[in-house]
Amino acid sequence: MIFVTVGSQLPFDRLVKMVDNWAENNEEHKIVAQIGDSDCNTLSFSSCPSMSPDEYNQTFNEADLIISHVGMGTIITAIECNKPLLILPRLTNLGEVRNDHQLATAKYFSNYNNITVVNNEDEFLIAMECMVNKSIDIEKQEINAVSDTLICTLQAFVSGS
Amino acid sequence: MIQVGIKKTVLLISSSGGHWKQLLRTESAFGECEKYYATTCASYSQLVPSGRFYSLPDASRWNKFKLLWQAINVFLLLIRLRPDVVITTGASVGFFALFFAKKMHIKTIWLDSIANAEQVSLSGVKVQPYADLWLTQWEHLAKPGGPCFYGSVL
Repeated sequence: MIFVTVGSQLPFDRLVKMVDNWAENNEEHKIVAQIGDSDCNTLSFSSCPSMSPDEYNQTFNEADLIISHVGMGTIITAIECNKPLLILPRLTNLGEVRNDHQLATAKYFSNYNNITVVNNEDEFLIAMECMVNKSIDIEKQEINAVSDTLICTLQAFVSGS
Repeated sequence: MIQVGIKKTVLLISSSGGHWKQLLRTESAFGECEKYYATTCASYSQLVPSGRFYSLPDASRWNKFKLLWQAINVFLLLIRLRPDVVITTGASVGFFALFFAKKMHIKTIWLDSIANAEQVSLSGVKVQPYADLWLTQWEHLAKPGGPCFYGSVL
């Protein structure tokens, strides 16, 4: 199953339409989508504006592939669960977000084993070809933990307060 | 040995989504404390112990009236809980929390979101005067006068 999530606040119809176009030629794949306040109402897969945390976590765990915007919630969850994640940055010039921090974030997270960044529909289709048709065995990453120095700093700060 | 003293109380507060996800990853630092949680999505109450959760109005599109309403609610929550420490990862709800907390002599921590990899967030810059501990999660963004870098949640 493929899980498409664009966060529960702003819509991201450019990504939803890319998935929909792909899905028309790949009907054998089940797709579940959380698409926010979207104008897409004739999609070829099931979708909802937003999910409860339980529903979200369950769908995330069942998914073989996650498709998303460059949202930290999705990125952290995908790293925690070691799930393949395909991300498309939102752009300000298309009115998709307030600033272009998603472009910067995408750059910094593109070196994670499980994360693939795409910037347009052509790259999206190529990435889908690779990710869906090959069984992906992601090497477990050892970078999941919170920094000890950060935790110690916070602990010391609270003790001293 | 008998431990004497009252547990410190910590309020963990942020907007929903990625900010919240990052905030919860700092929880292990507050193991010995009474923890309270507040965010802008009511259904997140499922994720924390019951009786510890407070829902706040959302202002994700930075509408002025929504922001004002959110600020008032954050202020009332701080009066109600009177925590020893407030920690936030952002965004507007976290800014308001530190702004009021500082005036109430509550200790404050700003941990700027890891999403801000090329510059500290706008609210992260504005919050500096109200943050006792002002942190970025990217080493290359740390400066001598702050924000400081001590690692990240990933």
